[in-house]
Amino acid sequence: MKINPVYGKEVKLRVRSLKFAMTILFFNLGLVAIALLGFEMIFNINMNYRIDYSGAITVYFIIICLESAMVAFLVPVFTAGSIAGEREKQTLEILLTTVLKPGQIVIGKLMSSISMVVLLVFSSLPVISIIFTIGGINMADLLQFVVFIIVMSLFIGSMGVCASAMVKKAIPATVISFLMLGFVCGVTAIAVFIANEGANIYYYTVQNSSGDVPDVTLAMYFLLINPAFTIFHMISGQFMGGDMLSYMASALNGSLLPFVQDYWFLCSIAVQLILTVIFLKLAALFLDPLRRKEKVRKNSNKNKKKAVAMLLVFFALTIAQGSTQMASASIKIKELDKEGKIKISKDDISATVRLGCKGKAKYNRNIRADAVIENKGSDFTGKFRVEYARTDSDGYVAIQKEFAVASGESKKVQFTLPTIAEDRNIRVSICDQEDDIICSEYVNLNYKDNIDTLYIGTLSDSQDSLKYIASGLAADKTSFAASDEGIIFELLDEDITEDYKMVDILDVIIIDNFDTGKFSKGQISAIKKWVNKGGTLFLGSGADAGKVLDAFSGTLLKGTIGSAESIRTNFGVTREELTRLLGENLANKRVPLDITQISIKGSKPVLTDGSNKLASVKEYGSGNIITAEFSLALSEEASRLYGPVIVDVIRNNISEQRKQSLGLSNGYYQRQSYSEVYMNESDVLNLNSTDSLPNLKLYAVILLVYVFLAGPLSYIILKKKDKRNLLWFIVPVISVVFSVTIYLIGTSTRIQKPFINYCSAIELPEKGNTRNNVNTLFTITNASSKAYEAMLPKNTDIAPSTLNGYYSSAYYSSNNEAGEYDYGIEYGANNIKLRMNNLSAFESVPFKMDNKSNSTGTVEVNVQKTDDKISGFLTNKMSCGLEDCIFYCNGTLFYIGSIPSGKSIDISKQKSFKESNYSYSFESQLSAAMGGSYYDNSIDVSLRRRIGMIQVFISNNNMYDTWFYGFVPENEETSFTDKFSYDKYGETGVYKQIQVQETLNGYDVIGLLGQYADQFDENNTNGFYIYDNLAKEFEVTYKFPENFILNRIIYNNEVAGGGEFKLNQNGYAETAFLGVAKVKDKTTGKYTKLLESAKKVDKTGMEKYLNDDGSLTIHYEIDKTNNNEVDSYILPKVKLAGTYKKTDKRR
Amino acid sequence: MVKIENLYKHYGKFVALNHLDLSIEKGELFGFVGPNGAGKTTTMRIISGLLKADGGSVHIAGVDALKDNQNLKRKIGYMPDFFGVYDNLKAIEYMEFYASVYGITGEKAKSMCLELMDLVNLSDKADFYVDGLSRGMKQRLCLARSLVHNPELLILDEPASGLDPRARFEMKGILKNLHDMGKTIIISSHILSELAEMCTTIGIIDKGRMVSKGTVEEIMQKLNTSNPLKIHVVNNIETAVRIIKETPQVENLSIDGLDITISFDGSEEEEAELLKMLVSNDVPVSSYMRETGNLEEVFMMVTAKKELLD
Repeated sequence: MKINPVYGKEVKLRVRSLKFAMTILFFNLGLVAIALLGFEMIFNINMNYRIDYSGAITVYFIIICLESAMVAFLVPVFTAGSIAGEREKQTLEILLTTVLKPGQIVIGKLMSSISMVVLLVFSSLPVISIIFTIGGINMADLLQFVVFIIVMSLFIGSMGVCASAMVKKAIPATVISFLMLGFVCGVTAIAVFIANEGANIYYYTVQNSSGDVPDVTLAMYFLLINPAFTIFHMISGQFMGGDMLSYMASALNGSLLPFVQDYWFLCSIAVQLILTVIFLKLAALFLDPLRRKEKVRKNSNKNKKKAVAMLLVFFALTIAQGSTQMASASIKIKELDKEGKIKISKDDISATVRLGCKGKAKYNRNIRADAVIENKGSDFTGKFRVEYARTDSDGYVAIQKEFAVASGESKKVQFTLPTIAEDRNIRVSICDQEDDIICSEYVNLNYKDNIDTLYIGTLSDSQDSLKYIASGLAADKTSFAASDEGIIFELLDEDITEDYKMVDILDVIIIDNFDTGKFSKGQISAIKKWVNKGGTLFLGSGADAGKVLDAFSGTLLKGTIGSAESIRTNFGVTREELTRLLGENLANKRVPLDITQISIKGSKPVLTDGSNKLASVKEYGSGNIITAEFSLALSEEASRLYGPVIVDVIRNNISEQRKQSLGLSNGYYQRQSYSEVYMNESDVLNLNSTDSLPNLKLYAVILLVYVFLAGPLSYIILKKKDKRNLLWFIVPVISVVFSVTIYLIGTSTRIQKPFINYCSAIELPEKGNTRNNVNTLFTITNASSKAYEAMLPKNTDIAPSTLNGYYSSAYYSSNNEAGEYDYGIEYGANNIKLRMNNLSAFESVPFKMDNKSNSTGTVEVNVQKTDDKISGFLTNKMSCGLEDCIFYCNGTLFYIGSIPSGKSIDISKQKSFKESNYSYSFESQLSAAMGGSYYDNSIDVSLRRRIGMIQVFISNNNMYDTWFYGFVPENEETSFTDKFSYDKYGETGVYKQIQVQETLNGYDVIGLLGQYADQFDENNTNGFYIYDNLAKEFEVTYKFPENFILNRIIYNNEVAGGGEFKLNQNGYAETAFLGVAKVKDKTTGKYTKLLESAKKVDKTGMEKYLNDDGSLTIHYEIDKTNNNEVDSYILPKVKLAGTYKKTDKRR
Repeated sequence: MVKIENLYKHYGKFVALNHLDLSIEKGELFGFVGPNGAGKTTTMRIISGLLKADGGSVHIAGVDALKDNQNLKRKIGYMPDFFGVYDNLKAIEYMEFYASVYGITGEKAKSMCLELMDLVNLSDKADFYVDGLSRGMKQRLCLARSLVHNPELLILDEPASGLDPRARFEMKGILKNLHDMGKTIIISSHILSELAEMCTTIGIIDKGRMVSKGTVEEIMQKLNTSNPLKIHVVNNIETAVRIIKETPQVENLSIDGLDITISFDGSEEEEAELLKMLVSNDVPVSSYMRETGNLEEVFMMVTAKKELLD
C-alpha cells in the first residue's frame, strides 16, 4: 500500500522526539491513576461498607469521556494548524506544484494530525481494559468505543482541516474549527431543546392545550451529526441499557424511524463519515489554486443558499409533521371510573381493565389487576401488561400475563401487583406476542387516606342488602378510632381466585347469603390462606346457615350448626348506645330476626342480646373469623336501627395483624425497649464479599510495566536501532498485547453472568413438624446492560418488590413516559419469566419470592422471666442445625451460637448482653453479641449479612419484645437457591416471636401500660408531636386482661428503654413523657400524682386506683412550656404487675 | 517548450498580465526580466499551476498548462521566490520527502537525492537539518528539490535574490550546468545584467506585456540603438535643439546646460547625418556619442515612462 507522502513525512517527524514517548507515558500514567484510584475508592473496604460494582463502570465511563474530550479539544488544534501552518511557513506552494493533488494533501494532513491522538487513545486500551476485571463491559463495547474515537477524530479533524484550508493563519483556523465543533455539538442540542419548548409553547398557545402536542421528533435527527451525543448514546447503551432515544423521541412527542432508532450509533457514524468526506472535499477545494477563489466563492454562495433553503424546508417539514401527525403526546393520565375500571381498545381488541379496590391501593398489600379482553377479530394471542414507575430509578417495571382469546370471545386475565409506591404512574396495556403495545392508557391509583381505611369485600347474592354496612362505616366516625372511612367492594364469585393475593388488599370479607358450595377447593384454600395471613372473614348465616358455612366446615371452622329459630332482638344495644351510634335519640325497638345456633370450637361471643348469642369470633392464624348466627341481609328497619352495631362488631374484631397495619393498634407499646433500628433491606441484600474483587496491586504493576514499555522504553530501544518509525506500529501492538493479557487475567474476577443476592426468612410456627414458608427478598444483578430472562416454574410465587417502600423518597420523576420497561415478570402458560429488559450493567432489581422450605420443624422456646431473671430452654426441632442464634427478651440479648438439630439449650447459661450496658443502642448490643458490626468490612461478609438481616428484622418488627433469630447453615436450605442457575449470595434466617411469662415477686407481669389503652388514638394513647392546639390535659382508660387486678407499676430507665430518663439541659429528653400523670384514689376521691417526667417509680397497692371494672384511668397533664427543646412527647412506658382473680365473673 | 499566447490576468482592477505572448524553445535558459510588479511572478505561477489565468493559453511541452494541471506538474520543477522549509528534517530527508511525493522511495530515492545534492554542491550537508542551512544552501537545496522528478522545465523565481555574491556565483554555475544538461530553464530577475551573463534568451516584461525578447546579443544590440545619444555643445545650443527637434528619428530629448540627451531611433548613418547637420549649422559639438554597455540604464530606459520634451 502506498503511504500518503504527507502523512508519511509527518508521522516520521513526530516520532523523532522524546516528546512522543513522554506524551504516551504521562497520558497513560494519568489514566492509570484515575483508574486505580477509582477502583480503590469503589472497592476499598474502608471507604464503603458494600461493593458497588457499577462504580467500576463509572470509572470506565470517566476514562472514555476524558479521552473523548481530549480528542475533541486536541484534534481541532492539531488539524487547524496543519494547512494554515504550511501556508505560514511558505511550504505549501511547493507542495502544490508537486503532483500531489489537494485531496491527497488534505487527507495526509488529516491523518497525520489525528494519528497522535488516535495513538494515545489506542495506547490507553490496557488501562481501559481494567474494566474487564469486573465486567459489565465487553470487548465489543470497547471496540465500539475505538470505532467511535476514530470516526470522531476524522470528523472533527476534517472540520479542522477544512478551516485550515479556508483561512491563511493557524490561529483563526483554530477558532473557526472550534466554532464548527461548537455548532455540531451545541446547536444541534439546542435545536432539540428549542423543538421541545417550541412544541409545548405551540401546544399551549396556538392549540390552546387541545389535541396532541406537535411532533417535533425531526429535530432529533440533527443529533446524528453530534459526536457528543453519539458517545452519550453509546455509553447509555453500554452502561445504562439505554432506551434513551425513545425517551427523547417521546419527549418530542413522536418516534424515530425504526431503523434509526435501532441503529443510531451506526447511523450517526455513517452521517459523520459522510460529513467528513464533504469537509475534506471542501478543504481540497479551498486548497486547489486553480479553483480556489472564484469557484469556491461561487460555491459557498450557492451552498449558503442551499443550506438556508434546506433549513427552511427542514423546519417547514418539522412543523408540517408536527401539525399533521398525531403522536403519543406527553403523558396524559386517565381517571379510573368509580369501580376502578378503564377501557382500552384498538381495532378488534378491547379490554376492560380493573385495578385495585375500586381503583385504590394500600400500603404493603398486593393490588389486583384484571382485564376482560374482548376479541371481535380473528383468534388473538397476546399479553395483558401493567407497568408502574420505579422509585429507585427512572423507568418502569412490568408485570404481564399471556392469554389467548378466540375469535368473538372474551377472556379474563388477572394477576396481582406488589405494593406500588405512592404517586407512581401506571400504564395498562394489551400487547401482542412480540411485546409490542397494541393499546394502552396511563392511570393512577388512588392513595388518598388509604392507610387506615378499612377495605371490606362483600360476597352475597343480594349485595344491595349489605349496603347499610357501607353507610354505617361512613356515618360513624367517633367509635371507629382513627379510621375515617371504609370502602365496600362488591365481590363476584370469580373475584375469589385461587391466589389469595388477589384479595390481599381487603381487610374484611363478608360472605352472606351466598352458596359457598360453588367455591372450588382452590378458592377455599385461598380464603384460608388469606385469613391465616391476617384477613378477617365475616360469615353470615340465618335460616339457611349451611349455605355459607358448609364449605368452610372442617377447614376453617370446626363446630356444629344447631336449629334455626325466629327471635325478636335489640342486638343487646341499650338506648344510650343506640343514641350514641346513630346520633339521634331513638326508641330501643326489638326487630324480628332468623337465627341458627352455631357453636364454633375455640370461639368467643362478640355479640349477644342478653338471651341469644348472635355472633362469635375465632382466631385463625393471624386472622379472625367472625360467625354471625343471623343473615347480615337485615330487614330495612333492622339495618337502619342496628346496622351500626354490625359495623361495630366488624371494627372491634378485625385481626390484630390488620389493626397494626391499619395503624389502629397499640401494639407498638408492647415492646419494652431498644432504640429505633433502621436498616435498609437493599443494603443487606447487596452486601458482597471482597474476595472476588480484582487484585489492584497486580494490575497496577502490569499497567506500570506497560506504560513504561510503550512509552520511553520502546522509544529508547528503537532509537538505538534508528527505527523509531516502528513506534507507530509497536505501541499499538504492545497495547493490544497488554489489553488481552489484562482481559485474560481479569477473567477470574470478571462477572460474566447475573448473580443473585438474597435474604430468606422463615417465620417459625409455634409448634409443628411441617415444611415452613420461606419468604425471600432477592435482587438479581445484571452482568451487563444486555437484556435477558430467567425462567421459573409456573407455580412459583414471585413478584417484583420495592425496596424503598411505599412512601418512597421518590425523587425520580414519575412524569416520564414508559419507554421500554426496565424489568418485570411475565406469567406464561407454562412458566414464569423474569425479564431484564432495559437495565444498566450491575443494576440490581428486587423481587420477592415465597416458597416452601426443604427443612421442617420449629424452635421451641420455653422461657420464663422471674424476678428479672430469664431462664428456660430453647429446643431446635428443625431438621437442620442452626447457627448464630440469638434470643432477645425485654432488653437482654443472649448469644447462643449454633444449635444442632434436636438439641436443647439452657438459656441461662448463654452469654447475655444487657441494653443498659450499650447505652440502649440495639445496634451496639447486637454487634457485641455477634462479634462485629454490619459496617465492619474486616469481618466475614456472611456474618455481616446475618447482622444486617437481624437489624432489618428489627426495623420491620419493632413491636416484637421477645424473639428468637437464627440462621440455617449454608447449603442446608436450598428451596430458594435451587430455582436459579446464577451465583447466589445470601443467608436464610429463621425467627419467631415469643410470649414470655414474666413474674415479679409472685405477681404476673402483663407488659406495658400503652398496649392496654381502651381505645386507640394516636394522640392520646401513643403521644404525638407537640402542637399548640393539642390538649394539655386528657384522660386515658386502660383496660387490662379479664380478671387481672393491677397491683404494682414500675417506671424506670430499663422499662422505658433509657431514652426518657436521659435528660437534656432543659430537663427533658428529646423524646419523652413530659408532665405528670395522675390517678384518682377511689377511697378518697382525690387525684394523686402517679408518674412524672424522668422520675423512677416502683409503686405497689395500685388496686385503690382501679375503676370498678378493673380498668385504670390516668389523667395526663402535658407540660408544653419547654417545647422548643423537645420534638414530641410520648406517654410513659410503665411495667404492670398483678394477679389474676380466681373468679368467672366478668367486668 | 513553452508557448504562452495572449495570457491575461487581473487582480481586481489591476491588470497583471496584459495579453502576454511568449515562447521558449527547448534547451533555452530563458531570463525573465522586469521591474517589480511587471508580471514575472504572476506568469511563472500561472505556468506552474499555482494561479489561474483569466485568459489566453499556456502550453508546456505539449501540455495545456491551464487545463491539464496534473500532467503539467510532472513536466515542471518550480522554485518560488520565497519559500520555507520543514523543521526537524535533515537535508536528505527533505529531498526524500519530495521524492516520495513522486512515488520514488527507498534506496533509489536516496541515491538519486544524493546525486542531486551533489549537483548543487550540498552532498556534504545531507545529514544537516534543513533549518540550520544558510540561505544560499537552502536555495540550492530547493533547486535540487525541484529536480527530483527530472522535470523538463525548471521555473526559478528570483533564485539569486538575497544571496551574497559568492552564493550567486555558485548558483550561476549550477544553472549553467543544468543548462548544459539540456534542461529548459526559466529564471526571473529584476537585474538584467545578472541574467545577461548566463541566459541564452532574455525576455523583458513590463506592465504585463513583453517589451522585448531575444538572445542576449540581440537584446544588447537592440538596447544599444535605443541607448540615448549624448551631445555636448560648446555654445549655440538653441540651434542645436532646433535641428535635433527637426530630426524625425529623435523621440525625446533632455537638456542639462550644454548637455543634450536624446532618444534616437535610427541607424548609425542617420546618427552621422545628424552630426553632420549640427556641424554644418555652426554648432560646435565637442562630444557626440551613444551611451553603451550599461544594461541597467538601458533597462531603466526601456521600462521607464517616456518623457517628451515639448
